[in-house]
Amino acid sequence: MAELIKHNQIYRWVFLLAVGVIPVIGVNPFWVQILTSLGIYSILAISIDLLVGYTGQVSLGHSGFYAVGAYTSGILTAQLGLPFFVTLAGGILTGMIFGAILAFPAVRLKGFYLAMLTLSFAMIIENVLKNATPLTGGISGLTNIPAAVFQNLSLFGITLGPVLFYYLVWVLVLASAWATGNLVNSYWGRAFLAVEGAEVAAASLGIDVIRHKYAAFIISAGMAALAGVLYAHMVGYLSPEAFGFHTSALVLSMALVGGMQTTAGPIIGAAIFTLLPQYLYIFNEHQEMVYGLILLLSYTLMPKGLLGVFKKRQPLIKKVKQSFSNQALGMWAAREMHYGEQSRLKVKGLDKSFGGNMALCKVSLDINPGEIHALIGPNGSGKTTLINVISGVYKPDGGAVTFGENVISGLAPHKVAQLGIERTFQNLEIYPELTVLENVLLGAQTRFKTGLFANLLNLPSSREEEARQIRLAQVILTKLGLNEMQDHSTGGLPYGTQKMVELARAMMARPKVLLLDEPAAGLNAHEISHLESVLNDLKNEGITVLIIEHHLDFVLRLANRVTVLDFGSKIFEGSPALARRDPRVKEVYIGGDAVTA
Amino acid sequence: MLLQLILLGMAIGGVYAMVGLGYNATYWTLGIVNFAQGEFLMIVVMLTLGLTAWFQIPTVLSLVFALVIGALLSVILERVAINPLMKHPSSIGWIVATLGAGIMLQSGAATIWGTSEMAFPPIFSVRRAIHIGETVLSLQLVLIFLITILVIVLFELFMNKTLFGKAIKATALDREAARMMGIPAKRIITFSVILSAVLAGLAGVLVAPVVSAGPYMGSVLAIKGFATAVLGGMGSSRGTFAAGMIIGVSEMLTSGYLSPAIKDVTSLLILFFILLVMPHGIFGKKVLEKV
Repeated sequence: MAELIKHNQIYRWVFLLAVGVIPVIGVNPFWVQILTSLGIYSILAISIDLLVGYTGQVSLGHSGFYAVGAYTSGILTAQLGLPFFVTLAGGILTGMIFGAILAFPAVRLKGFYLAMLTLSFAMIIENVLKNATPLTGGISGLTNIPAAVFQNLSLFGITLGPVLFYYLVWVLVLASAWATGNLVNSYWGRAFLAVEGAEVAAASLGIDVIRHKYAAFIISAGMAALAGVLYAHMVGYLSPEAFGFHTSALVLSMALVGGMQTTAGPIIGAAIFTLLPQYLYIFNEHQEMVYGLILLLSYTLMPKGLLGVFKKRQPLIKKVKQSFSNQALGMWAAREMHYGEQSRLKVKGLDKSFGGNMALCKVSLDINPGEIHALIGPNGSGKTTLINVISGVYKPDGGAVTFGENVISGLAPHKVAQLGIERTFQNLEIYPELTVLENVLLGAQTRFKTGLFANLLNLPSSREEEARQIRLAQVILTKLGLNEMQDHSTGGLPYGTQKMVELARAMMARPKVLLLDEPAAGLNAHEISHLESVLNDLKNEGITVLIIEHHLDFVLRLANRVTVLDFGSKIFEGSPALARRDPRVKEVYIGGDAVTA
Repeated sequence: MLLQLILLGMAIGGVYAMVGLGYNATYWTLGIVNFAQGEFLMIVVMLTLGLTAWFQIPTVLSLVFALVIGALLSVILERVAINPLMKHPSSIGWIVATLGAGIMLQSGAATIWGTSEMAFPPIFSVRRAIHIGETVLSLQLVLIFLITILVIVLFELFMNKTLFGKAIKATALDREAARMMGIPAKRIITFSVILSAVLAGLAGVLVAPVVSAGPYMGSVLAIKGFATAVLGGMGSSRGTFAAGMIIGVSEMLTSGYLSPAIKDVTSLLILFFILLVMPHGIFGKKVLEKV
């Protein structure tokens, strides 16, 4: 089956041809209407996929945005007589405004809190539709909306009958699918997945988690509102019943069954749920029961949807043609590999306690630019806490961290990363589902400069930027000996290789300071010597590194300077040679054998 | 008028608190809430009505049977949908799955009983009213309130005094540690799911004479119960009870002084703002993400 679906292009053309000719070959008006609603549901399902599939924000309230779009356009045309193209834009805009309002609490919530919030949003909207009778027509509904069925809907002077309206809807479906596809196949989409996978790790890569969630929420709301506008002018009559909870559940089912995180999935799902009731009596008679059953079992039986059963996951990377000169790319990458001006990282009198437990006590550190500074000490001595405070994951209780001219303590993690302080994690924070190349490209998040619209429209500037970063990623991967596996999914690789991928990702940011939290933990002797040569290269290139490590031999060979922590306090700072001899250091590392070896 | 509204609000709020406690029960053991909670509430109410009508048995007896059936259904839900997804507790899988179960229950009820609303017989055949000064209060409501208090007190005693209750609380603190201490996590989880459904069912039967019964009665009550649990702080029993009173009373006051139409919106807006301002509620704890 996977072989069959390889011919993606062919499927795409067959699909477009079918969409194009169906009304021409004379299907009856009933079917034109069914296929038009299929288009409308497709837009809704795509909007759900963007939000739920890519950013992992569950929405049970899309019927609310759908209603906002429909009623805005309906009221503006029926009561104010505004032209359709104005109300189309107005409907989308209003939907986006509502999206922004709901997103305000929503982006800070997760899981069932978020699901309940969106559900209650849709219920508030439904309640307003029922009760604001002068505006919405209340329970009896809103009538007199110009519509395709009444032949009184016109766009720029052209009367849109059912067939022309069908074409309008499908042009918009394809445009939505195309633009959404462009967006997710760019650094935006990778950032969405990073946010969905692990927020702390995403923030440490310089991704503004809240901003990305906002963007997805607002775009998704706008698309749902677009679907609402189209619905209003397909049927010409709006009643609150069409915008109840079952609509949200139906659309969610469509995206789930078709397959989230794909372009075709939502459309396939919409087709199944729109067309099957026409053929299957049981589906039609017990619709709700069938939806319920599908929702109940779909996640257990096929979490990736139908498309996920037949098709391998495609990495979210722009398809870049060879038109960008290979040589120019190579030169650019070589230039980029030079780490720029390094700044001084200073930690002064840092305090941090967790519920009365002092994790850090008046710790001061001064890390010289271009040096490797080792941070050692027994387990629980506060090393990782220090890195967490520097990288912004924790706020210190006292003291300050400065970087060059800036005070960075108290900044959000993504702000710290954007200043050029990159970190790796003790417990490995890579994205196992993503390919090695995707993971490494995530390191360059702060380097992408093209905006949202350039990527929605896949402009040449955004493609060139992607080509450059891919080339740089390949240079780094080659350096680390990982170039062979750039298309492997990262989770399937050996642990040591995954740690190397994490290091490659941090290097991809071309940081000013690299914070490494036990990079050698879990590596075998061979891998450790490989790591040592990589870090030595970095040192020669002049990068500043703060490294936590338990393999003392390894780290003392590498470091220019050593700081030793014990119970949250600094007990030693000096050269590696002095550290080997210092009695206090020997004492915390019982016996001191490892140190003298 | 004011006193009457407040007392009415407290009675209704007690019911919301019961639904909220039901959410807490699964939140403690599983870290999740059941999105079919409202439908479990509804199905117990409808079954109580149905069994009484079909077999001509007393309401109290059919209530017991209905609760047993509700409990069985909740165990099936746990086995089919919640358990298989526990490997990825953060995934949206269980939200979707429990939602699906709710839709199935609702549509099943609509097939059996039709979609129109029905009157639910008062559990106590008392028509008397209590007069406090000029305030007239139906004895029915007072009894509902007293029973709600009784159920909540029994629930609290159970949670804090019995081994089973303590095991649930221990599981809530640390699932892994609880398992290693020999607490049978699976059985505790199943039990919490049953407890959750039974609380919802009891709440439904108490409130049904006031709001009238029907397949769609659950969704609004479910979200109000959730608003109660969140306002009180997810996982806090005392908080849930206090929040129930707050939501019930403010709902009745807006209904009485502004408009009955916006009664339902009140609790939704409270939920919206509480999630905006302090998602951990009045008595809840903030959780710190560890890396």
